[in-house]
Amino acid sequence: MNDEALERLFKLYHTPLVRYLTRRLGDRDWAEEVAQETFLRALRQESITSERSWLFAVATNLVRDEARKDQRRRGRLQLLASEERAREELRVDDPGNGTEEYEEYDAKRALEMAMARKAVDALAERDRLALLMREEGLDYHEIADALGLSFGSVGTTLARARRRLTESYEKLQAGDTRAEGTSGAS
Amino acid sequence: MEHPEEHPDEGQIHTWLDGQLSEADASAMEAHVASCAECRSLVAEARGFVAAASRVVASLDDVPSGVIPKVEPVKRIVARRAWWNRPQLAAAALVFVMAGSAVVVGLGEGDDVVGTEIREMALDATPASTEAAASAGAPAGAPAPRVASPAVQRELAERSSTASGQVAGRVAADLAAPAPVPAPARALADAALPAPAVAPPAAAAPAPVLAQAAVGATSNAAGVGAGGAVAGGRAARSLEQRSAASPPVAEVQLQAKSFAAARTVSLAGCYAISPSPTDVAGRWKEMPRRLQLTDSASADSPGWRAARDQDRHSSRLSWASSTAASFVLRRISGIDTSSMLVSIGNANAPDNAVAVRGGC
Repeated sequence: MNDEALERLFKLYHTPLVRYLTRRLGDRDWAEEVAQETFLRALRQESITSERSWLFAVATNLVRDEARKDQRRRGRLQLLASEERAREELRVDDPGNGTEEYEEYDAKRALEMAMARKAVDALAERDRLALLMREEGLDYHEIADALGLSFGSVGTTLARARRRLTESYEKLQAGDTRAEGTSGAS
Repeated sequence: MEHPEEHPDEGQIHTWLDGQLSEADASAMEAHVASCAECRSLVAEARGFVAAASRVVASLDDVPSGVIPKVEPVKRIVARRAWWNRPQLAAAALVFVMAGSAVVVGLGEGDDVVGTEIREMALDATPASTEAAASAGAPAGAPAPRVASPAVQRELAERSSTASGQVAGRVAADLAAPAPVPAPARALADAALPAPAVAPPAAAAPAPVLAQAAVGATSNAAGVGAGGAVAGGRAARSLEQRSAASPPVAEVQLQAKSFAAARTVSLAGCYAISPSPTDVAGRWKEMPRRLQLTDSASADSPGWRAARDQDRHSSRLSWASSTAASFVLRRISGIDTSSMLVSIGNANAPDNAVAVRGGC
């Protein structure tokens, strides 16, 4: 691939690829790292027929093959645990004793993000990847190419992913609301 | 849909809602849904799932970088003591004072080799700062703490104790004052000596000048870290070895204005890269930028080891800066990288990038 082709590819797909990877990994630095490696691999290709699905497939495989994956996951669990602790502290120690509005807003947003992360992570790998790719605008053919699926099964995969994600997130929200109710009553 | 009279399954409904059905199938689906109350409710439910899933996924975007702890936390000692309580700098300052006269002699000789080494070392160590800052809990994009890297401190201390006063004086002079460097090297010198390093006359306040200059020269290099310190030491040694026959300098300056129109520059050779203190006014000024170098080969090159030692699975070298707007690449010897990709972007417009490839 020549410089012009790389430049074009970079301009077109860097942003969505990094966003896809960030959503997938929960860490922007790591996402950018994988994206860089993906573009470098593109650089070594003579030509790429289906560019977007190729890039997303390579990035997905890079993540899959990443040796640090498990360690990173542990790190993420630690992060979630610390968020959980923070949430507990907010409930127990600070039930309306002067917490600023913006702090509450931040805590709420962090909580929502943590729940979203949990819900997304709870999906089966294929469902998650298909959904994240679709959210980046990949069409069914591209998703099928990137994940080795048939065109017909992409709709089923997405339907399942969306339903499970929504249900899972709502469950987490319901649990949180119940916990808040309990905390407020005590 | 081959048989419009059949109820579509959930997958087909999503395929339709996503606009992925063929025109004929979409028409058939539309006709069926219009006439089937059960399917209308399924479609309504599916629309809800599509929207909700999209919202949940989008809420993942508020992800700060560096939240995930590194596998091997980088241990750094950020010295908060005043410069006069730091033995290396104090010693170097003393040498600076003693070698005051040698400065003048050194400037007149036009021998810039030693000073060049120091600047090169700072450039070598530069890329580790973001990772170190992140691991030290600093927010991404924040300027690196202004502290001399262990490698530079060691270098200064070694030179103070072993080198002649004249040589050390030239080192100090080179760091502290705008020495008459050859034109091509001036941009590099600028890059290695950010704005605060523009020092008052040496005679007025010699010791602080050195301290400030040394810190300034390495402010981009701060945070070499545990692995980086080792690598920095190696880099210092290799620089020492090659100092006698420094290769011709090849520099490419990428101005901030060019970010808007991404471009690719082909380069032959290997490069150290550093932010320039020359900033531009306007929209780029306050935007945090990240510069990344990625080598495509798994070459065992000393220039990349600083990063690799900290994170052996990564070949990325990066730092973030909120002030630098242009970057200087300088050819350095002894690095076997076959190619590298440099992207310059910022958090708000990551698609603005400059790609630079180069090979040895």
